[in-house]
Formats: sequence, structure tokens, C-alpha cells
Amino acid sequence: MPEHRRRLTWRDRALKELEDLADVMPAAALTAVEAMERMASTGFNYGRATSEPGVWYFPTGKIGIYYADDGTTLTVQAVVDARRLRELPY
Amino acid sequence: MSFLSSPSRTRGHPLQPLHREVLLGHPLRSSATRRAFARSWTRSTGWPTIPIRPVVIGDGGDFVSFAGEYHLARRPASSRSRALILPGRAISGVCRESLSATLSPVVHSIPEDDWVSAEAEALLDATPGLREDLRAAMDELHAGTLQTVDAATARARIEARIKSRGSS
Repeated sequence: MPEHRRRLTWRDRALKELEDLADVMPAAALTAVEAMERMASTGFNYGRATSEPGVWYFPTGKIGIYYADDGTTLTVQAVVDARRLRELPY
Repeated sequence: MSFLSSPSRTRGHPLQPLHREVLLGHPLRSSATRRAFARSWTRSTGWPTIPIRPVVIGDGGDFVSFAGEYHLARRPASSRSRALILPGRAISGVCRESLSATLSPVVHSIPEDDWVSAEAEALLDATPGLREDLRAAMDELHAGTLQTVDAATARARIEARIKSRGSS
């Protein structure tokens, strides 16, 4: 059976952004980490290609993740608080 | 059907709305109604647009956001008697879009119901400097100069940050 697992790396700047987000929403930050680990372990790219060449996007509840995928390694490039798009009810 | 529609049993025929609700449940559970609904559906100009948005339950698990996207392609466990059976064309359409988005290196257009791609582009537009930052990061990645940390270190740093937040 072929090994599909991919290597997962985080860009240092993206990890710092996630650390900052962990201060205000720790569960969501941990969920983002687990989601990317799961994607790497399954070997399937769950995300969507974006208009930026080579950049993919995967939403993990409150945090959106931009990453690169070269077929063997997932490299997280940036994390964004996706709640900024939500419309407040007041 | 004969039992349910018998005038002597239900005090009137056809069934009054209240009786129908009590005896048959939701109208769409009736196979005749379901067939009629499906017929009118396929004769319409297009497939109905169902608003698909991320469903956040609890604290937002990572797969929660998929619930809104894939419920069209999945039949519930108890679909036999309850759920409307969706036409195969709609289901395969959803799968085709996902597959093409996965295989194609360039996204030419975003399908109407693909909220993930829409969210990705909206965040790119709404976050100042994000596009430029991603382009620079991709250039560094291709040049081999991108500073990265491995997954174990990343998890350790996030967990340490959360722990220090709780203790402070």
C-alpha cells in the first residue's frame, strides 16, 4: 500500500499569527493545527485553489488557512481570522 | 392508503390538514408528494439554489464547516422514509466542481455554491497585504529560503501559548 502521508510545515510568520489568534480563541487555534495535521496524515488536499498561483485555502471554523501543496509537503503560509467576513446581527 | 383515506376512519375525505399532519407526518414524506415535487423540480429552469453557508456548531470544529457543503451529496442514514431524494445530476455536479477545483492549477471561475472559494477570495481582498505576503512567501518557498518549522514544533508552540494564557 503506497504511503500517502504528507509532510507538514508551518511558515514561521504564519505560526506567529496563529499564536496571536490563540490568545483570543485557543480552541479555534488548536482546531486549525489539528485540521492541518489531519490533512497531512490522510494525504488528501481538502482545500480549494485560490486565485494566487500555488496557494490553497482551507477553512477551519473561525480560522482560514492559506497553504502551499507541492504533492509531498503542505506548507502553511498564512492564517486569517475568518470571522472578519461575518455580518454582525446589530 | 386505504386505511388513512377511509372516510369512516378520518372523518372526511380528503384528509383535512390537521389529520394529514397527524397521520402522514410532513407532506414531503408522502411518496406521491415527493414524486410530484421532484417532477416540478426537474421541469424548472434550473436547480434550486440552496444557500450553503458554514455551519458552526459548538466551538467550530474543523469538519463542521464541511457540513454545509456536502449535505447535498450525502443521504441521511434514515433517508428511505424521510428525506427527499436528490437527482443524481445535482450530486454529480457538486462532485465535478470539487474535482476540477482540485486538479486545475488555476481557478477560472467560482461555482455559485462554492462558499469556500468565495471565502478565500473575500479574505484575500479584505485583508490588507495578504496577497503580496502570499506571493512573497511562494517566491521564498520556490527559492528554498522560506523559514519553516515542523508540525510537532508548531503544535508544541500553540499548546504552550494556550497554557501560558490560561495560567496568566
